Amino acid sequence: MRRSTMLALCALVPMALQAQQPDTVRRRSGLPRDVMREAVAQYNEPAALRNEGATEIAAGRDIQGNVAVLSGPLTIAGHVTGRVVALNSDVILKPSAHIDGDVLVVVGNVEGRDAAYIGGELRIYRERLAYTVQDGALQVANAGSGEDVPWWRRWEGRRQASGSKIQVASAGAYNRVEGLPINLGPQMYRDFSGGSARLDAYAVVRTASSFRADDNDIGHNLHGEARFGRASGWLVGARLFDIVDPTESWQLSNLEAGLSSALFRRDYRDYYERHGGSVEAGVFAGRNATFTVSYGDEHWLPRVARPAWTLFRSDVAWRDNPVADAAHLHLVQAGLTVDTRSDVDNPWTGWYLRAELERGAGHIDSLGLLSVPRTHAGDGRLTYDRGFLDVRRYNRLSPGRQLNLRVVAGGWLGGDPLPVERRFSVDGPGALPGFEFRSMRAGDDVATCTPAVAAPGYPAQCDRMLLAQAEYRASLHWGLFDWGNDNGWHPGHLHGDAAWVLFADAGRGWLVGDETQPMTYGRGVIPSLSSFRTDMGVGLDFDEIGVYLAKALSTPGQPARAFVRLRHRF
Amino acid sequence: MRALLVGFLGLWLAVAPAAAQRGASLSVELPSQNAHDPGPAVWATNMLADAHVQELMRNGFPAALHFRLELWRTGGVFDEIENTAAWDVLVQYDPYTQQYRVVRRQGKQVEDFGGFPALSGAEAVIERPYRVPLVPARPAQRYYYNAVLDVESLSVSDLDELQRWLRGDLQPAVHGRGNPFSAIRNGVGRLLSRILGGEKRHYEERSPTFTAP
Repeated sequence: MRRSTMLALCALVPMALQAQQPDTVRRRSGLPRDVMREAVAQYNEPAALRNEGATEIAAGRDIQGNVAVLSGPLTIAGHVTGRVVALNSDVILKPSAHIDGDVLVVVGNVEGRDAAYIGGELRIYRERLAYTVQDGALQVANAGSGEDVPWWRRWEGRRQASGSKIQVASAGAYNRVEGLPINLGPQMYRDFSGGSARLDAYAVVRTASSFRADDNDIGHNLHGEARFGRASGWLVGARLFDIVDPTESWQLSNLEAGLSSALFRRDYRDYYERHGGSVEAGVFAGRNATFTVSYGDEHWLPRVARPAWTLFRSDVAWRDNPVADAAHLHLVQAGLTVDTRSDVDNPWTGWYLRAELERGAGHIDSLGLLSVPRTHAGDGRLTYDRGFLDVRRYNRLSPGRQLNLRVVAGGWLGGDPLPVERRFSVDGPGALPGFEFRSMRAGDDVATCTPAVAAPGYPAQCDRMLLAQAEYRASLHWGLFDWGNDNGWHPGHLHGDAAWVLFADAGRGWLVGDETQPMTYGRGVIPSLSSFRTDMGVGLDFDEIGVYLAKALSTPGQPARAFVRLRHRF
Repeated sequence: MRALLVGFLGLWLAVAPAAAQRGASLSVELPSQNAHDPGPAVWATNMLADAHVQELMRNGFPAALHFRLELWRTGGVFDEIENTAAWDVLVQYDPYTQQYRVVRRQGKQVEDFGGFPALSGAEAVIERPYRVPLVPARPAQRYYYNAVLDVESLSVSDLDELQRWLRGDLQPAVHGRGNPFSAIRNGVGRLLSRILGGEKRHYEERSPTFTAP
């Protein structure tokens, strides 16, 4: 039914096209018209070397200008400073060939293209050029038969120019505070010769609150950025925002957190409101490395959970959203990302590093709720330094086996205690899946730094945390799904994507300060490894989705826990 | 119930190899000792044979094939990737000319194969071994090739992404966070859509390990 509906919709496109065409189908074939015109124009232009028939540029010979050959073959072993056009001709490039400009070949093979040097673009067209010769110049015969421009060039050109559209896009994961946040507004992107620029200007509509008559809760998110340089360069940007952000987003992806909330009423994140603006500058090197520094002026406010819709378990109450600090802060942030993974979705090798440093200075208007009440001296002024580091290494042991390692560390570096919004936990399926997420346990909870009594919503309270994860993966050489052929879907054979996984995790959080207090250590102390929570487990990873079973080791009484992850664990 | 599940799993495993033989495949062939073969050859067969893909193409939606070839060097503990090459093949049915158009792009090289009246013509281009100049740098070391192919039948919403795909840019040109409906689709929805006849296929194929000359 679904497929039929989609195909019916698809069918409307050609039907609309055909309605504008004559009854008889016109045959349009041959070279695109602009290629014909370009090829003939290049051939007719003054050239340092123009010839009809077999042509050879010997090694050591230097052609200062363009080369145009008709009905070759053309053999190049020397140097051409201009461009080369070969019409109805093969081109043979010797390893010593050096062409500074473009090479355009119409109907012909190009041999040796990988060994020779071509400074410009190489284009090869397989369809024949029909031409006539008048007064010594080439004329296109029957120029009206082809397309105006190559079909793929049309798409390419459209993208390279610029783009703008009204965007309706999710502004983050579905959650118990906003429901689904939606960015609604214009988006503009412009590609220019030295870089690119983009501007997004969105209203943020929240399905849980924006449509209520008594609480018309609509945010905004305006972001402009200019990048100067292609492969590498620098960037500047500015942002104005009134958004709801998670306190910790490193454990699960947006998609996992959103689906878990929308389907099962399990929200693994906590949220607070950010209202303010920021400016940033940075440098980038391709897609692999980016370093940015930003300055922001922000107001932070607590948010409460709302009765957001879910597909299942709708009779169960949401976990409270912890009461965050209300504060006005000036933030200086530095962020470094280095990503050398062979594939972002399915990496076999490479590094991923994300490092962040933040200094916050301002004042707290009202304190959020933690298990142990806090006090702030004087007028509530606050200055803190905080760091975060996520390092992953992907290693291929053999063609079908892999050992991946990850270390995540974060915490207070100096100044006053961290605000609630900047505290840490090592909890849940993204960190220590062998332990139940935010559940009351006897004794101290080193995953969230909660003593015997938890604050509403069971907030993350740690000043510092450290987590290490390791997994061994081995290909099963079969998979869950296969497209099969005309007979439809077949089981098995996901082209080597499926793997069995053996994993282990160890981590904990702690507080910094008076070491006589529970879970509290000195500023230069890392808790003993024996105090860390540990688990291990096995799973089947089908690339898109993985099913796992984890067992706590440090607390053997905990039952084994099954969980599902989209994509890989990390 | 458990017996039923076990039986289903057994049937699944039994059927899998046969099903795989009927489907599409990706191949990578080591370079011969012939000096004229500077690197391995890569080709794919039956990539456009799926009825769903053909229906989409006949209605104007192109099929995009993104190839990536990796050269791996085996190590004492870890294997290391030494070099990679990537190229794209785009196939589109033009209802106006009733021809299948094929173009291949690798870096600054574009090869427009023109139009073919039958899909078999376009398929033949993809099935033709494409030699990639990716050769080991260290003699006497052990190597293998890993070929990766992602095949996508592009939908209307993907057409905007096509241009940067042609440029070889696989990262979003505009860093929006995605349509809210596609956010759902990209998760469980995407998984289900693939079960039902899918929009993206992923293939990997490794060559035998060999010693560099």
